[in-house]
Amino acid sequence: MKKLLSVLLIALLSSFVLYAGGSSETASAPVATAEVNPAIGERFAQTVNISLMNSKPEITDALEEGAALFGSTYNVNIEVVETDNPGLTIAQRYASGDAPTIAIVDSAQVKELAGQRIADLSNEPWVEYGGDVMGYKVDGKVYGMPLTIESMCILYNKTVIEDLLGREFVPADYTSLDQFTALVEELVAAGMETPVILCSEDWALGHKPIQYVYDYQDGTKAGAIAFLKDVHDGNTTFEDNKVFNDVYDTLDLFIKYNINRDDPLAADYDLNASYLAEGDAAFWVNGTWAWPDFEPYAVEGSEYGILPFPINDNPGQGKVVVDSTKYIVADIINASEEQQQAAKMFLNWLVLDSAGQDVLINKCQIVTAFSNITLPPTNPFNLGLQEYINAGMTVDGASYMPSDHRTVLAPVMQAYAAGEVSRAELATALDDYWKANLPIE
Amino acid sequence: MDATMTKRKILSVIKTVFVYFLLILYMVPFALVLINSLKSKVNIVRYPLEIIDPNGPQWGNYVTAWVDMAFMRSFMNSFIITGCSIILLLVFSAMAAYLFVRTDWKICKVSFSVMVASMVIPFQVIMIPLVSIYGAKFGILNSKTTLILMNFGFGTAMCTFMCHGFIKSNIPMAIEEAARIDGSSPIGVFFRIVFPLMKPILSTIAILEILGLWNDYLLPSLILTHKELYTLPIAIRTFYGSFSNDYGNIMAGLVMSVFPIIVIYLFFQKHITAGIISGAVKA
Amino acid sequence: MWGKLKARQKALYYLGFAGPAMLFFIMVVLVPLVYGVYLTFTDWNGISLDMNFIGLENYRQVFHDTVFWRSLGLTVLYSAVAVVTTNLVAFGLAYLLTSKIKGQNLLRAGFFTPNLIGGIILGYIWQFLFSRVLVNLYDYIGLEIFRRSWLSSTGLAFAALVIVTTWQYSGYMMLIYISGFVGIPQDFIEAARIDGATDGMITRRIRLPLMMPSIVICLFLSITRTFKVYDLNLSLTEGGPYGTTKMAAMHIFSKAFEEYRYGIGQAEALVFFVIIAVIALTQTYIGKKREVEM
Repeated sequence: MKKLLSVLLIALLSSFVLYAGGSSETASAPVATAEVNPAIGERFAQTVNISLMNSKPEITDALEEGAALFGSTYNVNIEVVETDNPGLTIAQRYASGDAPTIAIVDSAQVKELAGQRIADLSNEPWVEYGGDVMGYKVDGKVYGMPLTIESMCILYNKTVIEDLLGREFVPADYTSLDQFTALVEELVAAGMETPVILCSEDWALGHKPIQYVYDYQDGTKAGAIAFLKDVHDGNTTFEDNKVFNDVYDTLDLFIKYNINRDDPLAADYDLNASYLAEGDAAFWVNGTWAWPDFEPYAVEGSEYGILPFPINDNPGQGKVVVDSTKYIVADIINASEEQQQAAKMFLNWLVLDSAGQDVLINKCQIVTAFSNITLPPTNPFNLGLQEYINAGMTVDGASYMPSDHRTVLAPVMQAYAAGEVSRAELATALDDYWKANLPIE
Repeated sequence: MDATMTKRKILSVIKTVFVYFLLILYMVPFALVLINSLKSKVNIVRYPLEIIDPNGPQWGNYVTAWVDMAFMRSFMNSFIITGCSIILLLVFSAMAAYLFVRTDWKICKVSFSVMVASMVIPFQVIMIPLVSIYGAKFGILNSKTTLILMNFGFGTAMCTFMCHGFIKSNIPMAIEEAARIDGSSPIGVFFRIVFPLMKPILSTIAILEILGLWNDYLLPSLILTHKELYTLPIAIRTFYGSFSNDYGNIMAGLVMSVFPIIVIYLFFQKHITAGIISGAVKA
Repeated sequence: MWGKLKARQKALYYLGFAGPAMLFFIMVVLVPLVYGVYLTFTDWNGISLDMNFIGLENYRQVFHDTVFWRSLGLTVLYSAVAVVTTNLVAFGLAYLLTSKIKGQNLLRAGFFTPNLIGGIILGYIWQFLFSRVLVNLYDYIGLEIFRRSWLSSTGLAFAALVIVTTWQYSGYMMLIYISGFVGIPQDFIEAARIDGATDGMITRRIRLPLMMPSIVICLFLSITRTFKVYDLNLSLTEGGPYGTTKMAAMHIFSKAFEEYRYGIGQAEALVFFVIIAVIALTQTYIGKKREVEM
């Protein structure tokens, strides 16, 4: 035993030695270099080190590739780090005086950081190409550059629907709840017992359905905010709101024909993806962001697409909800002048340089907010979304909820989906919340 | 007499069967990890109980996990951080505990009570203040040394507590006094006589602390934000997505990072049960 | 040898022996703790540069945060149940493993292995087991209890948390109990047996009293650990179904970092800390007193 202990001791001591010896292996593989684009800026004489915090894990690899290409071209070393909890990580990093130079965050963080911690990007060249409209603004200044446009919508499996119906499937024919109900019943009659897939996660089953109520008020952000203010002032209630009831009529249909209806709160995200991909069900109530997780299950030869949320007699009928969901911000507290410049160059490069656009569209596989980028999106969900955007068939996504909106209300909606809470109780919970809170403009 | 003998025998057979049955139940999650580490994501999700992937064992999971986690680098980081922290913890906690047991000075009593009381502090209470002070004010984050010293600071209360109990009940003062008469200094007495006698409790502490430090995620993730400093638990997190996780890679990574711990555990095994907390029990 | 020392010598010995441990302990535990207490009197949101002194306002808010008190109540309940099950299982295992069963080393190692894996990953494995594997098992054996995922029903999700906690900690506590059993002099038990005592009586009148020190330490460790549960809560149930298993630590985290109410979150954490301290230390105090009496 003594021998063993001494062996261990030696091992531990050797770790000290190894440590003291230091290991500075920076063996970086040779990276391709693109042309320096004068519109972006000059190549730095000395390497500038910056960091990028990414809160959209599915694009980390693509971002790393892009960062390496930009880096070798302009002599900037970008370290990409990933987090699945941007709120916590950004707070930690600012508390520790080690903020990332560039951060991809949610709107809640842009709001908290704006004005003090992050750069006013209003004068950047990309603002005129749509950054002004889709970017996150505080007091009229652009603080968050829109990274991607996404849509919460119904994903569908065209192949299985056409197989069952025996005719061509035209999404535009099923935009009202009545039409959609008939379609679902037809599918059921054709042998697909439960054609709809609902998620179980609090963001998907709890938070998004409530947002549909806001989004379809009149299709605009202003209209939704006006409604919520009316609720706040006690002029109206959710139960009296037509759109609330219309949206919940649709959700009730989904809940009735949910493939996971035996156990709605145990639905598994990956299993859901495989249900849609393999045609066990025809519709997945989710959003265009699902593609990277859906792709591994996609069946060769099957066609997939997106549908707007079916709703009766509504100005938003036939239109999809569109929102900019992630924003890029640039630090001004811990970053030096040079680092800030490099950060801004990287953002410009993504939007204005053809190599950067390629990273954004083809590698990260997103739908961009920028009108100067003409590359088509890469996957079926995003192609579908792009068509709706081009046709102007969109309604504004909700981005004005206070930061505790999800933690307070999502569980109530989940309980509704599980049949534990009635529609009236849910409406009351929404009334109570908005009586105590105001939408953030 | 025969009847009672057989009765006892039967009883002991039942006990044995029961215990081994429980053991198998305890091992189920590990078996699942091992089996699923060789399957593709699609098959893990759809058929978690299938033992072998229909397309054959997916050794690729291990390759991906190895490469994406930068396994060797992360392993070395974990090894250095755990190793150095343990040495500091063992030596200095034992010394502090020795002083606390052998003296009745007020300052020692206060120090020891504060340490014991601190064991119930939830980490959340000090998390942000900790990084504010040592990050924003002193700028010493992103260094293995900082993390090692913090591990030492956080772990020492528990270690001192355990050593305290052991010394109090298992190390007779008489031996020390004899050595003292021979003219040794207290430091000499401690290192030549007391410290070697503490081997059982020290190996127990070592294994428990090694387990804790090797698996620790929260503190290292606060202190180490640069990739080249990542430890194994931080590196494994790269397989978690926003909506779905890369289970195959996670499980392969898990098998690889737990393996060294199992080796160390088997190595210490005898001491653990021998020394066991015999100290703490009598604290 | 420590008897008659001058103050200066005392100071030197203190610094030499306890100095390093105390220095780093104070620097990483006590100093941040004090700073953390200070932060509860400010309106800092965890991220902005503004920080104003607002007195006891955060504590007033804590008082009104009904969700916090509910999560605290749930934590107390969870801790109570898990402490009992963990210690019963651990005690039972220790008893069985000290009763001459073959393969002691294997068994001890086996029951201890759950401690080899860290919190978050462990939770994910069990989540996978409850939501996928057991439901899949239903397809094979048709046992009604496995038809729906345990994690989607309030009571069973709570049970799942208790089961995983028991699984994880019982091996650790078992080791402590084994040492207690080993420490009981065999002649006591033999003597009792000759006097005609049954196994039950021996356990009640001899083993239990002599095991008090082990029981006290195990209770202390399991109470503090279960109270502070966070990783497992997050990765196993994520507070679900519909927020019914959200424990105090998780609530505090989301208060501070998702809702950006850092001051309130920090104040809640302190209230939480005081409650754990009172419970854990009272338990230890009572236990120690009983030890002395026996």
